[in-house]
Amino acid sequence: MKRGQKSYDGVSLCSPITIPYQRFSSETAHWWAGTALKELSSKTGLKPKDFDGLIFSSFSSSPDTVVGIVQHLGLTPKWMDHIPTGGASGVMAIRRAARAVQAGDASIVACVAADTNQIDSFQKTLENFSRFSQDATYPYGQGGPNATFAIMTDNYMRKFNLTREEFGKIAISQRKNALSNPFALMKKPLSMKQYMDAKPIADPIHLFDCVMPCAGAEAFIVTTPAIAEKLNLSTVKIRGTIERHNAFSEDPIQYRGGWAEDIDDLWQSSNCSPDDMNFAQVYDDYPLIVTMQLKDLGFCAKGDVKQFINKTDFTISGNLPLNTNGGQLSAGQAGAAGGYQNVTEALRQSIKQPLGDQIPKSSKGLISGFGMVNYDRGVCTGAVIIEADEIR
Amino acid sequence: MTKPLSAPKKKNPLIKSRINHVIPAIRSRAALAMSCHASQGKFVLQVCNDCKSPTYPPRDRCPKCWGELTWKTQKRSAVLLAETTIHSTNNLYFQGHLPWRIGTVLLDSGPTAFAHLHNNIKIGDKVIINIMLDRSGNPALFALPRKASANMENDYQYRQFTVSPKNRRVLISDGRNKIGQELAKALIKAGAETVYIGNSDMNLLFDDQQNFINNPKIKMIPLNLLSTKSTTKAAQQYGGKVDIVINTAYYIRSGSVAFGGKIKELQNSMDINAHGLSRLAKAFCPVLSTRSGDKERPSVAIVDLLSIFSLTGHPSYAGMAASYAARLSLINSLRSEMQKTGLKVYTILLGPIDDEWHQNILPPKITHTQIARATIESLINGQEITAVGNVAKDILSRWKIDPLLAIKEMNQ
Repeated sequence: MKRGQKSYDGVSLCSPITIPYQRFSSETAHWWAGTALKELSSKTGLKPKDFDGLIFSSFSSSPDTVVGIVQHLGLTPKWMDHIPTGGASGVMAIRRAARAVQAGDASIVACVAADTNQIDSFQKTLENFSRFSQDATYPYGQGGPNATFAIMTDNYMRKFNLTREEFGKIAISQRKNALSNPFALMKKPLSMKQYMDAKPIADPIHLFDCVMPCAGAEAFIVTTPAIAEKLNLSTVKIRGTIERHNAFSEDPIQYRGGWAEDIDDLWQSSNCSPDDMNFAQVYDDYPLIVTMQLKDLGFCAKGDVKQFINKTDFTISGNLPLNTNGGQLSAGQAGAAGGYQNVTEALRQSIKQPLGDQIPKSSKGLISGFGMVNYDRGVCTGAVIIEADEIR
Repeated sequence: MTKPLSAPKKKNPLIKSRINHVIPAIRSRAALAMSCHASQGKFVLQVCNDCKSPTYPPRDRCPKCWGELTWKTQKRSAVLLAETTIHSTNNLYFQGHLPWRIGTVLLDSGPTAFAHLHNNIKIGDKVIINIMLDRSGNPALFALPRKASANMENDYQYRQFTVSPKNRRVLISDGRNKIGQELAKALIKAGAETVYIGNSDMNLLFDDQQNFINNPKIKMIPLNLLSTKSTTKAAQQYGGKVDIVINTAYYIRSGSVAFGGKIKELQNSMDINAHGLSRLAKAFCPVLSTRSGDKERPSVAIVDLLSIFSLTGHPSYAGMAASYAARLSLINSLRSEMQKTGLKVYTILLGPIDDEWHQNILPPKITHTQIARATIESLINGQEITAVGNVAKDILSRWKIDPLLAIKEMNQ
């Protein structure tokens, strides 16, 4: 039943938008989504009626889904989708919108992720996250995702002989990258000593392994090259993609994700290899997840993961620029927008319109998503290989 | 090794007690079903009717073949794979108990699960998993060392899931009867700090009274469940000093419904068994609730000892069974009421007792010592519902399979 992936010809990704994050916001997810659309409109000249496709992701828009957003914000799309997969939602939005555009079901798809962070939003999201977490995770100390990822990290460190220093290197490199991003919530450099001495949250996870929940919105447009040209928008092409949910469910504790199952499909369909990547923007709710993605996607195939982390420079000027906006670890986690910021940053670097420093060479890159700890592990995974196209 | 418990410190009355936070109680219907098994001390998982795979967390269909699921007793053995000590939580209950240790266990029956961890276990250890009821009355997996050790039940986290009488102050509502007296002795033996025994008539001596008065850990107090004034006064005086209240009120008279049963006996039964429990709960539960979140000396439980015939009725003890049915119904409602405060409500279901009030009933019957022992065990093990004796166990198991049939059989 295995079939090859069809190409993404005739699809352009453009107009990455990031609405500056706020630690707390009294506004709603609807307000943040509207702000993102307003920004998309002012950058492109497109009006509500011009968007014939909409994808929406949010944790805090309840009780509204994309349906509520469409009416609330006055859109009349002929195609829409709600993607409730958090950290995997950006990658999935690309895949869905691209195929809709290719098939002619829609021509201009706005992909929007928006979340507010009112004082009690995070608590509410945790309490109502999923049935399994209500029954079998949340009542166990209620460490939130920290405790679940702590157990995964504990297991991973023993399995692959890692120490906290390797995770520290990732956090510190991303902080370095964040310093040039004016929107990043973290503004100060991070030293290994600060990382190691940080407050314990859930062993072995300490403060700087955790993201800071915040409010924000991210958006981009998926359309055809012809429309992008007419609108005078810079474009990025899709080389190949993968998506997988609930992979390796037989592993007692998660140490790999769906990427490991579909890695060959990703690189074959993209006709390139990890060595060709000028950058990687991977989901980073915890340094462990960054490590897991890079390993599963083949970046440390030749050596062990410890060696790979130690010998790689993840900063913007390094040999594998990683999460060049600082990622969620340093820029903040704006709910579902956290699953989009890897996409928008990748697009910005590709079209050379970065928020902060520009990666010297940025023609090909990897975007990877990871979402939804429904119970004891992240369920949703996906990845996209992109290539810079027209810069206008 | 777990250290022996030291006596709780005397509370500084100027320090504000921690409020009785509980673990949020939102659970699926399947998890509620699991809690019913857990309340009887069983270790169960759902098993697929078709492919026989056990599954966890609670589901509504088998994740391997989509077959229907049935709760089945499973092996308790497991291995601890990974762990974390939580130092930070946004939940008010756990904030009062940090640091808190949990881990992932691989059950010998197949699934993995998060579990609360006993302090004596480490990664790679073979462990025993119990399903306990947490402060919200919901099922919680707890990993214990495979080999029992001295003071094991004193583990700080484990003690949050049991209502062990050790170092606790207990009130027995009726100490005039043999159940209350045997229970008082057993509680002292199990490490209770003080046992207050209620006496409805301080001027009327009961057998063995002198012995009780001689025991410095037992204190007799005036308490008459027939009088709201008495229960209120007792709660005002002792409510702040007791951690567990055990209702041993006991009124058994024979008599059927149409022939031979006396309305007066039914009224007496109701007044002691049902209204008595209500008076006791109204007086003591509010004051106990204010201390259920205290870290040093929390109030922990209301325990009710009542007849197994509360489930089925009994043809020749109809009035007694009716009053116990009312009492059981009140206890069930009280349990859900107390879930919000973190106080646990325990039910001890008694078979016919070997005493003067059960002369017409054939053996097997249970002794007062047996009742005391089973009650203490249920408190130590955190088992909310316990049937004592073969008759009670038999009726309970029949009732669980088919309540209508059990009622019919009992009333033949």
